[in-house]
Amino acid sequence: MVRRRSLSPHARSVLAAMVEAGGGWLHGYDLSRRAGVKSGTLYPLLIRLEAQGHLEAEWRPPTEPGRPPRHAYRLTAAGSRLARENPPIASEAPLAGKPA
Amino acid sequence: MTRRLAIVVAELAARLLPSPTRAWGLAMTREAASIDHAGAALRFALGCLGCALREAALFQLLRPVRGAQSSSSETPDVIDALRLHPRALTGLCAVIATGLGLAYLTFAGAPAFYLVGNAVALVLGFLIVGLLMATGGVGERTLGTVAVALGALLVATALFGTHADGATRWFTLFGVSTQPSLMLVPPLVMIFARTRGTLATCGMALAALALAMQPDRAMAAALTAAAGALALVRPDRRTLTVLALAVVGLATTVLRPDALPAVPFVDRVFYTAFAAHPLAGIAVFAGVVVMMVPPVAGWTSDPANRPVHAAFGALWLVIIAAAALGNYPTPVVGYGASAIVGYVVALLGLPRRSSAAITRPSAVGEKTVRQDGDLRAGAAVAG
Repeated sequence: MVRRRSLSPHARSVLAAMVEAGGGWLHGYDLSRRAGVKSGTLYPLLIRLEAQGHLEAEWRPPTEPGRPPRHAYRLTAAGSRLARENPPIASEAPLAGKPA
Repeated sequence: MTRRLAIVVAELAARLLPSPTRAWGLAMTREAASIDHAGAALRFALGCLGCALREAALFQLLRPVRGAQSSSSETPDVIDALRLHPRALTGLCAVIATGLGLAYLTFAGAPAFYLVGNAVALVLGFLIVGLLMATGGVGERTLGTVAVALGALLVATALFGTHADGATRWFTLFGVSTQPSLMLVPPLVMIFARTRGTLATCGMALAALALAMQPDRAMAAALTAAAGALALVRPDRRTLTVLALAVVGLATTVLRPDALPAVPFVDRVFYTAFAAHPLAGIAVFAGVVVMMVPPVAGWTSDPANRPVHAAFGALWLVIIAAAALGNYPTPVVGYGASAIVGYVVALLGLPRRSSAAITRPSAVGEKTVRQDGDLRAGAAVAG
């Protein structure tokens, strides 16, 4: 049986930011800004969400020529369900545009 | 410049990540490289470095739990490689501990030249190590001669050194006051721990005599602790003789008065650092913990060379304890070049590769690994 734990405010913010993206792919830096979490917090969350099947990760081609491919992320169906079950806590709502 | 630094930091983070999550390191590096604003890229990379350090620490802590689940073909991680290379690990810990010391001095408001002095000492220590390694291997007899010379220098300090408040344990060189015992005793102990030769025994005897003459209670206790640790791990006639002499020397220092006042940023640092600034206190305590990482790692992962790791660990543990208990210099993290040089140079007495590397050749990415930790056959300290 899978043990369920209450998600941290940061995890909720990351999930909410991905839901807000409407199922589109997000890069790490963009996601950290949308969710208002620093990279040091974001990546451990992404690693675990991906390992648990809540997140898809893939290399996406660059949008500008001369740039290398970047890792991008979007929620799986299970991830979307997890996001719905764990909305952001009011005071910890995503702060769009906050520097990571 | 900032952008380049950001990428270097992100690449370091990628290398530190444990093998199961290493693929994420490339994602971090590419992401940091794609951020337009250099300052934001550096902040992003520093966050990634923090993440990598936590993941690496977690990976190591959970290693026993994973146990047999670990595959022998698992890609080695940086921490694993360092554990198998005691000298490299000690060098890295010297850099980290000195860096934390610089942080302490900064937060505590020490004069700028104190910071420069410690930084220069670190560079000097590595220069000495580099020069000694470049000279190639030397035999046990040469090492023994060096040990006697080190012991004689300690006696010379007691006879001709700078005198203050009833103690003669300093030497002024080019206007800079140094404490030779902190520089010379660590390498001397390491030579004795590895060779156990007659000359090295004489060097240790001279050191015990010199520390009693100076008097230097802290270093006499450290010498006794190192000899005691060696006697526990490897009891033999010469080690027991050195232990007996060290105990007599320590007893002499205890009987003699030692009323030196505390020097700011050098002594009583454990007590004053937190009062100066919380981050200063954290830096000091983290620094001394880092200093003790190499002997603990060596003891657990290098059973064939436990005597040298035990001697190194006991020596520095007691120097740290003395700094906590009395008016004695706080090594490496407090202001003082001598301990930094002593800590760095002493790493030459540690094996380049641990004995565990022999049974795990793939763990360091090599087909075959030769143990060079045993000086009993006349191999070189600096080899």
